[in-house]
Amino acid sequence: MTKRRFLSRGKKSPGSGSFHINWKLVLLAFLAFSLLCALVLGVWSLYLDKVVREKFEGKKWALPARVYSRPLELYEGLPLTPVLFEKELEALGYRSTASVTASGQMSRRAASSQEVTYEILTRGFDFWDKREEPQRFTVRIDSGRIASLMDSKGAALPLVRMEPEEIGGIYPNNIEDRVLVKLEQLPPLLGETLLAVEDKHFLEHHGVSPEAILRAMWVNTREGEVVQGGSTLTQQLVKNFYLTSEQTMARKIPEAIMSVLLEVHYTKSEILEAYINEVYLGRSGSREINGFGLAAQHYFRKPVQELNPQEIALLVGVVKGASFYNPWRNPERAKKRRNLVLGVMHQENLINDKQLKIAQASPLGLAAETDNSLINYPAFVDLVRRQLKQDYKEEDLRAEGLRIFTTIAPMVQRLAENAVATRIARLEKHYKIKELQVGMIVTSVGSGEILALIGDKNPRYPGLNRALDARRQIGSLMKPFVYLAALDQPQTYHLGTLISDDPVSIKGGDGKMWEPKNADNKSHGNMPLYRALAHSENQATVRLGMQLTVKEVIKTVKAAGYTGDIPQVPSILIGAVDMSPLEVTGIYHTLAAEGVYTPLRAIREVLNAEGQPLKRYPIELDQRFSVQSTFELQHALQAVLREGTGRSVYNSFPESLPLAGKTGTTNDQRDSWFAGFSGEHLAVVWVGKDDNAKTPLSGASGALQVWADLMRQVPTQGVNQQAPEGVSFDWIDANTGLLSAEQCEGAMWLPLHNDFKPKESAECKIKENLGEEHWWQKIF
Amino acid sequence: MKKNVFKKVLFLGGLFFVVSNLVGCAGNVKPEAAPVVIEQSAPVAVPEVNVPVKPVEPVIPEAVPQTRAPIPAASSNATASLVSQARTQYQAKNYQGAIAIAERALRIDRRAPDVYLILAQSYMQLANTQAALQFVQQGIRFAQAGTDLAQTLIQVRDSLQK
Repeated sequence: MTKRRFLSRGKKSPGSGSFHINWKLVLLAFLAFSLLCALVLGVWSLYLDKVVREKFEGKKWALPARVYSRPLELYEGLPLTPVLFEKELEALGYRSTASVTASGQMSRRAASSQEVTYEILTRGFDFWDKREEPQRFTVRIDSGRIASLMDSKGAALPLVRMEPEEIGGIYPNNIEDRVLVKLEQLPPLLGETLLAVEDKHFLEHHGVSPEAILRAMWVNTREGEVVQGGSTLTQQLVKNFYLTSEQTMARKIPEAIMSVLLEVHYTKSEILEAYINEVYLGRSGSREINGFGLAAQHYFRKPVQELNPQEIALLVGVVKGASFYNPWRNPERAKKRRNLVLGVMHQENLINDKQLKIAQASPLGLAAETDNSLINYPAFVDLVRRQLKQDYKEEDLRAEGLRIFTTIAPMVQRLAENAVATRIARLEKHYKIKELQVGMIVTSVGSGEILALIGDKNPRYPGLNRALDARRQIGSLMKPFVYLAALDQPQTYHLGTLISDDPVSIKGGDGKMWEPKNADNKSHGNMPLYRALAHSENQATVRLGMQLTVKEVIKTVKAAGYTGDIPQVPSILIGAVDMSPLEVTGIYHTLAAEGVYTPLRAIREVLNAEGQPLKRYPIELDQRFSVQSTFELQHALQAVLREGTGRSVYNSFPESLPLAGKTGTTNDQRDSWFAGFSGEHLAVVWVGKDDNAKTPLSGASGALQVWADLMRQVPTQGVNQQAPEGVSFDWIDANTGLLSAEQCEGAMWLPLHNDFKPKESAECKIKENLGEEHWWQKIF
Repeated sequence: MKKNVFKKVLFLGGLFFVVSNLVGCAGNVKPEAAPVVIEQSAPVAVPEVNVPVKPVEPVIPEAVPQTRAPIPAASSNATASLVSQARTQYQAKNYQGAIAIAERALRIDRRAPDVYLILAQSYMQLANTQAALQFVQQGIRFAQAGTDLAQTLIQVRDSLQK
């Protein structure tokens, strides 16, 4: 009754006496519903179609800017040691073999530890100016230089340019990284293995394989959990490229529709090419490793073209689960998976019995796992990024795949890192201090190119970049500019000119007296300019600076390349000026390059993702000081290391190597500086504490030691000893500044401006010890 | 060298003997009275004075530097090859390309005057007179006087200065 009442209440037509189904209406409703569903599906498909096409046809991925080191150029006579060369080859991913048969391989034949011959087949590389094709050559290193360089036929080669090392990137926010590979660049074996393992029927299906889905459903139902996927390679691409990785039915439907749409619009090759670049293959710290191009670099440090069957098998095996089969973390599991893939390769006749046997028996052959840092040399890349920001938008740097060719020499950078890490640890232990920090820059003299840059005692730590941002008082590093200002007035000053080192008092604007003291709190009477600089005497330097005027000294520092403000006060004469190691490098480079100012450079060229040149950063020169006065100054800076504050250096350097430089120490030894150069390399080092606390280190006991550790290892050449036109050496009496002779007591062999030499001679007292040789006699 | 020095010593010794007998001993060039007080109108900043240097940590000798001699003539093959490539680019009117290649040569030998010549000429073609002048002046500095190359460099400089 209740039911009837309920049913009767449900009737819409008051005329009908009993319940019956209006099939016509139901059919109509069903048709209407189906139509609506079809309409919704149609609209949705249209929308998905738009999504599919827009993303696939546009720029598929945000590509980070890739940063490259300088390429190593080999030529006969290049200073190079086997150890340094092999490190460079290792960083470039060259494999040592008994006989060289493919690109990226090298063989080594050692006659002794000093004489080694290498046969190398390069990979070729697209440079700014041209493509260097793969080249086979033989190079012999003997006694610290390249003794011969020959092609495969034994003919002499003038020059070989190696490919540069990729040192990092400027990444998109999601830190998704990939090296794009075109399908034709992919080894056929990799493509075939991938299809054999991941989607055997890729070439036949239309995006979705019902057969594979049914099989997977059956297996999963039987197991009670998802153990097998029925996804085609196209579906995997859709899932990774367009959708989330969530495995739900709600996601499976659009995935299937989009897969079909993708197959409708694009060819199998286009889909496969997108897949090989999209697939997730691992992680390095916060960076995602996507695509086979980058995976080959990540796991084996070689281009994808050079992968052997077992390496291909591992990469294809990792597709199933990059974390689960991480070969560094789970080597056994990864090897098992690799061998399983090798089995499939063999089954599909992609490799023969012998290849299978060799491959399955071989170790994983992984490169050393990186320290998970995105960038090898973060402090240097930081400088590159800052310089690029002047010309490019941040989003372009992160997404446009620019190729940045820089000046860093990984060989020098590695030596500098080693020098810093070892010496700072030793200083901390020796002086029982903690939290010492360091900033260091090495440049190539002449070109002004930055070869190495360190912003932290842990060089891989991308924190405060002290090389660029630690602006500290430079102390006595200022003094050479006082003396250069003097030497630039050759009619009045030469290196033998006497200056009093007696106490000096300067009355300031506020009426207070300023009385700078020497480091040893002693006065040394009259002394020649070069000796006052070599021994870093404050009193003599301040007196000289005041004779020249503070304004003139500031003018000299600015002409050397400093662009900041310098207060016009006497204390700047002995370094009451804040500068960063980069700024110090800028002004000292002018001294090292014989008076030629060159803006420091970290970038040589920028290319777009297609390899088209966008911008060059050329070498610029400007002769700011006379060659004569800078040659004289360089002589005095050599005296710093021979007989002055930096003389400890020659405990471990050969006497025949002329080096020049200046120590710097500030109040309470808060900053330890050294800026020094050879004929080819300038290195500036700051050591101190971030909180500007006192340290027990002077310039000589701190920064100079780091500098010496580096310069002992870098193949370099001495400071130029050949006097320029208008300068000649002569003997000068240390007590009078007049002409003297070799055998006279106190005679100094100094470079002098020909037009302004002293005309008178001093009284000569013949030296008692005639056999004694001064440092300048040993190098001339 | 030593022979010349010895000759000079003999000559100067003789000269000194004559001069000292004639005019007596020479005095200091710049005798300095100490202490001096210098009036200074600008404010004085906190003085930065070096403190005595503490004993330096002993340096443990490590690897001896391997190579110290001047650049051997062989490297000039590399420079010459690059100069020739740069010249080809220059003749093809690709001046930026010529500069890029010449800079590679400069990194190998920054005292090679022919490299400066091609750089100067390339910048000249690009109407960058200032850069051209700087490079040609460096070239003149390193060129051997009286050679054809030195002559060419001087001609380029003169034409730039006109």
